[in-house]
Amino acid sequence: MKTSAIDVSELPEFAFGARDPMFWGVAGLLAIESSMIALLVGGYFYVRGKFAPWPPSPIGETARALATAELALLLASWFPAAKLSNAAIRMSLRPARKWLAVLTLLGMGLIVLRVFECRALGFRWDSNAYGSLFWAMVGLHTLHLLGGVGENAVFLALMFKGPIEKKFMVDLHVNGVYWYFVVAGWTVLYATLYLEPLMGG
Amino acid sequence: MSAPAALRVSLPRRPVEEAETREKLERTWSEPGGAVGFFSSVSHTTLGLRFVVTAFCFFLLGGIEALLMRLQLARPENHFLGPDRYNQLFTVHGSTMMFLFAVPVMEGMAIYLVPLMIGTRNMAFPRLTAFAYWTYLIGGILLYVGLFTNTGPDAGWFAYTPLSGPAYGPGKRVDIWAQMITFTELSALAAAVNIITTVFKLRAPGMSLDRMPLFVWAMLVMSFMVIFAMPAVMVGSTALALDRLVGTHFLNPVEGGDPLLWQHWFWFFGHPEVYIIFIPALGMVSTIVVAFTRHGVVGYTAMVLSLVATGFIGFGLWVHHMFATGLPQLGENIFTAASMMISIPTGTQIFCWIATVWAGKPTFKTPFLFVIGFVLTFVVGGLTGVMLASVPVDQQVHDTYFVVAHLHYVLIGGSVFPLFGAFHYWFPKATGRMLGETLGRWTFAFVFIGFHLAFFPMHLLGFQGMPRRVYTYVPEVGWATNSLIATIGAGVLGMGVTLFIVNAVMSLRRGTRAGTDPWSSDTLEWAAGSPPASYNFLYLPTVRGRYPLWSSREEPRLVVGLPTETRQVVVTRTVDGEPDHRMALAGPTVWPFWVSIGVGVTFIGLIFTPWAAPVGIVVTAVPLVAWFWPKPPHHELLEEQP
Repeated sequence: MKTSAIDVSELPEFAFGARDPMFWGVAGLLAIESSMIALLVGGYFYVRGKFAPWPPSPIGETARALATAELALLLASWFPAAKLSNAAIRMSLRPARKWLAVLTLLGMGLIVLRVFECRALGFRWDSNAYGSLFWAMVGLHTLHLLGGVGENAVFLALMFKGPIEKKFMVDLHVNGVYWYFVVAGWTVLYATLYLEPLMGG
Repeated sequence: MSAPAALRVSLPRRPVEEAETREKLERTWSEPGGAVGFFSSVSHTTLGLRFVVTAFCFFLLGGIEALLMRLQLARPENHFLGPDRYNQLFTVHGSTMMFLFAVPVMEGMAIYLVPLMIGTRNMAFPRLTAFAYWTYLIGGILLYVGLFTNTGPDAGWFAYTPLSGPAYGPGKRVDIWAQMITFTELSALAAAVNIITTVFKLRAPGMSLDRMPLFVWAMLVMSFMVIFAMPAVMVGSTALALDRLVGTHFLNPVEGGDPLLWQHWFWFFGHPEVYIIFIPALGMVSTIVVAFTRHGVVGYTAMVLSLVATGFIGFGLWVHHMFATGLPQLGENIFTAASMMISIPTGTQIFCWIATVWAGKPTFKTPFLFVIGFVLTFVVGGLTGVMLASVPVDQQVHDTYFVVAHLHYVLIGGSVFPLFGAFHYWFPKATGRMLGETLGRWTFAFVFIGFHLAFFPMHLLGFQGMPRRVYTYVPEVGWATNSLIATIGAGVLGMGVTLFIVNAVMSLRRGTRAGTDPWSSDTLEWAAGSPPASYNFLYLPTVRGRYPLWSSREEPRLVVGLPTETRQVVVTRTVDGEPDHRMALAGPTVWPFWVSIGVGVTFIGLIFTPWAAPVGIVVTAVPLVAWFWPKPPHHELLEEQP
């Protein structure tokens, strides 16, 4: 019997976005992490009914200011992250490296702010169930922050070391998606932990 | 950016060239030998098989625990086991079967079969497969180290607080349980992401979603369920562990926490878990029904929609485990409705199978016998499920042996029967030899009769009011006869499993040679060798229908132009399966093993001290960076270099 074939040798060796398997891998990871955050937020509102007044332990003003500063910084980091993604798609190494360096430094600054925020909260994880959930939510986000900054630092080191494959820029682009998640995650948690209790009710 | 389309060319088949290609592919895809090679494997067939064999060993351990419990309950006022030992046994039995057997064995089957069925050479993330395996193994060993040192968890497989909390669960027993959960769920999540990506991106050219085998659909739905269900139990088990380790109050009512929060977190995972175990089995049943009736499945679209619908509705049932906790009546009504609704997609599939059998020419080989056993048994379990969905009935039989009977009918009938069918069906693919048919039939007879003898009387015991998890009972309550029958049944079931092992061991040595496609099946794994070569297919196949191996009248069309020096595969588009680009998959390395060890040090350390967390981050991060550190390039280099 005759056999025909399709020749794939002319197909490219990489693709961006949803065409790239690594994109789906990271999307899966983010779905998992989003579920975790959602479950903690669910738990937080579940115990809320047991406390009057709410929140049972007042949040320190310094902590609130620091958390707000973190939110502002994270939202601002969208800019270098977007620049980084663009540079990755355009395959231009030097701008990509520059914006990744900016993003990594911003991330390190955020970690420092986070440490001071936690120290200024005024209650601990073992104060009450509110404290436990509060610390768990902030803690989970901090792990993501550490992971994101660590990953950025490794990527940065590779970008100084070389040699760099074209495919590397795809991974760099996907790494940017993870950073957007770190930003979005804190936006949700900030609204839950810091804003919602101000609305009374 | 649009990719240049793949060209159609004609392929002259020259034996000499083929032999050369074969040799090159073997060099590229074979795995290093020796001890380091053992820990470096990233092959989906090697790791899939390890998952299945390891899970089967845990199944045997869980089975032995069950037999010990049945011996204890065979007669009233028995003192074969004491209450403490009995508590550990039923907890470890349930935890083993759910976390160390059922989920990993299904993942193992997916890891072994999915890449073959969709016509590719490995999983999308080969090293993640290795990480998933080692992490699972460490979690399993942890549980059994606990049991064998008399530190086995003893608060039930769902570890309800406050019994499992710091006030009533002293020692490290519950901590071992909680960390075992974290290990196995991490492993399952890694496997799930891997399966989804593999199914979405690595299908053979032409395999659009509506041509995908139902087995692959089932594994896809299972993986999505894992992604949204498993985080709940990870959050829960972490909260429980933290309550016990650093004095948090997630579940402590005195400080505003709530033990019911545990039940919500646990069952938000726990109910979908049942479907995570059951849906892959549906995929196996569909495969076996098609292969042994020699007829395309009736109602393919309805089958796919049923799988997906089951996946969604499965998340709306968790509260029916909590009917006895005093929830608002409206909430109970909604969950009753959802619990009854889920029988619709399952019913649809059962009718589709019956129609397929009716339309085809069934041959009653062992795999098909297990499918028949599945339908009969699962329908009974499904019906008692509809009974339990009703709040008044549930209140009456809650925590009795009726529930034990129901859950074993759906889990063994719904999942283990199809799995044994699948073992008989795919054994020749994995080993190159057929399982003995006569012994296979005897296995089925013993398993089927033993099962019903063991579990049917439990319905009656439940009605008679026998509670779960009691280590003994007095003669006056009248539970002795049914309990003895159940124990005899368990023994018969155990003999059935033993027959299967004997059959497997004998067939491995002396079984009939299977050849590539012993059942004349329809799916692509039967186009690969038995057992498959390290690269699966000499040329990657393409697909033009739902039953690629049955459409032999069409000329075969293969994929050429992939370099043989690197581990390249074709990446196709998610929906229509058209070729999109090429990608080199990662090769063998020992680092995923060390990352699992790092995770192991962290989780096991956290049983004893919170300082394991910072230490663990370091010991995990170092091998993790090594894992991802680029090796000599496999792809085109960027023009601009640092």
